[in-house]
Amino acid sequence: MKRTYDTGIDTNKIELAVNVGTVGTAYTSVYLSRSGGQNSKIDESNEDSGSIKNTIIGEAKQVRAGYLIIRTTVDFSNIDKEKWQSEAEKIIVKYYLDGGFSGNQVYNYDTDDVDIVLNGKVVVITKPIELT
Amino acid sequence: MKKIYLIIVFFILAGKNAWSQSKEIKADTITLKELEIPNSPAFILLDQTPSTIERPSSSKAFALSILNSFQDSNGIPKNYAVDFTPFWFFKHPNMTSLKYAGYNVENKKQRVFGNIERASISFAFITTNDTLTQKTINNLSIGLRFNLISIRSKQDIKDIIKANSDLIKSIRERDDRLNNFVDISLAATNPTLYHLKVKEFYAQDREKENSEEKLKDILARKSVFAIDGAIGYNKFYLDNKFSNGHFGRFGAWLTLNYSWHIDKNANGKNYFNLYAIGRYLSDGTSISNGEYQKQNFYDFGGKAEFEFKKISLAYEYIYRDSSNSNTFRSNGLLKYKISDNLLLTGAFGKNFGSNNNLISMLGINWGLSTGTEKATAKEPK
Repeated sequence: MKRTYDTGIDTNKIELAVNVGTVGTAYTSVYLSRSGGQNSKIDESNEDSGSIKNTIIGEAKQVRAGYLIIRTTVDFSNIDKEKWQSEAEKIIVKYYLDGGFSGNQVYNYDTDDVDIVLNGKVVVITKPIELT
Repeated sequence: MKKIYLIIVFFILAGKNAWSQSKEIKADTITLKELEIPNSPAFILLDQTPSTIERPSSSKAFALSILNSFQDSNGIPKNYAVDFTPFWFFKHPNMTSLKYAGYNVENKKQRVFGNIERASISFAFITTNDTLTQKTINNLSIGLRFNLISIRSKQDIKDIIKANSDLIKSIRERDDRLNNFVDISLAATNPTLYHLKVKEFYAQDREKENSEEKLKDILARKSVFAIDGAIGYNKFYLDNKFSNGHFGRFGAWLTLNYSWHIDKNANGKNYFNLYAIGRYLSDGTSISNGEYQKQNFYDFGGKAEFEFKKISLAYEYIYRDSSNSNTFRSNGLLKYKISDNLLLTGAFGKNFGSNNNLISMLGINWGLSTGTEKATAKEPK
C-alpha cells in the first residue's frame, strides 16, 4: 500500500532510516523513482543486518513528485523449515522519514506489500512511499 | 497396540486443536521430525530419564515428548512432557541473522549469553506406583531450562560470518536480477502487476540451494563450551485424589559441557562430549512416622559421551550428598536413532539409594514438534 510524505520547502533535507528485525538473513535496497521512469538505487543495507541507518536521500526539490521504493528481502535458510511461515509473519520493518513538512513519520509495511516465495523460504517486502 | 495408536492420534488431534485456538498459530501440519526429543527438566527432576545429564537440543516452538518404556506391561506410555520456547512466539524488533547466530557485529564478539532468550518451559505428567503401598502416584512438574553460556570455536564464528556474507551477496545479486526483470516503479504505479512479476521471477530464478544451506549447517555445529541451567518443581497426588496433593521436589542445576569435534568433515556429527553437573534438590517424597519429610540433596557428577550420527554411548556418575546419608547414581547409556522419527534409548546401572535402585531401561522416545506455521506460501504455476 502506497504512503505519502510531504517534503515541504525546497531546501528541506529528507532523511530515511529503515529498521529490520528478523531471525532471517535480510537485505534492503532503496530506490528513488522519478516521473519519466528514471529509477536509481540510492542506498542499501550492509552485511551486518537488513537495516539502514539515517541517510539523506536528497533535498525536497530533488525528490518531490517521485517515489521512494524500499525493498527488503528476507531469506530463512538459516532456520528450520517448520519455522519459515511463522517467522515470515514476525518480520518487523519500520521506515522512518524526517526533514520534510510531515516531520518525523514512521511507516510499517502492509500485507499487500509482501510476497512470500520459494515455499516460504524467501519473503520480499516492497514499500512505496510517494514524496509530495 | 491399538491403544498406542489411539494415544498418538489423540495427541496429534489435541495438539492441532490447541494450536488452532491461537491467533499466532495455524497447525496445518504437525510433523514427526527431529527426533532428538528435549529431555525436559520436568522429567529429569523425577529421575525419569535414562540420563540425568542432558544438553538441550535445538529449540523448537513446541514439542511433545513421550517416553514409552518396554517395561510397561500394557505398552501405553505413561510419561509425557510438553516443551515450548516463548522466543518463537514473539516478534524481535532488533534481531538480525548474525545476532541469532550468536555474533554481535557492534563489538565483533560472540554473544556468549545470547541463547538465554531462547529458554524453554516444560510441563510433565508422570505416573508411577508407590513401591510400598502400590498406590498410584500422579506427578505434575514444571520446568525451565536455559542455555546460560555458549562459546563457539573461532573457526565456527569465522565460518558463520562468511556464510552470512555469502548469503547476503547472493540475495543482493538476485535483487539486481529482479530489477532487470521488473521495473521497480511498478510497485508504486501498478502494484498488482509488480507483485505478479516478483512471483514469476522467483519461480524462474531458482537459487543455488547448496550455498544457502551452508549457514544452517554451521549453526548446527555444537558449541565448544556451554553452561546450561534448569529449574524444576514437582507436586504429586496419591490415589488420583486432588486433596492428596503433596510437595514432591524442587531442583535447580547447572550443567557444564565441553565438546570435541572428532570428525574430518566440519559439519560432521561426531563428537566426544564431557559434562559436569551440580544440582540442588529438595525432596519431599520420603515418609517418616507416617508424615512426608523434606530432605535436601546436593548432587555432583559428570558424564562422558561418544556421539555419532546414529548412535551415542555414554557413562555417567553422580554423587549425592545429604544430611542423612550419601549415595550415588552410576549408569551406562545407549541411544540409537532408528529413523528420523524413532529413538531407542537404553540405560543400565545403579540409581540413588539402596533400595529399588536398579536402572534397567529400554524404551522408545518419539516426539511431536512443530514450528508455528501460519502463512500459506504458494508458488505461481
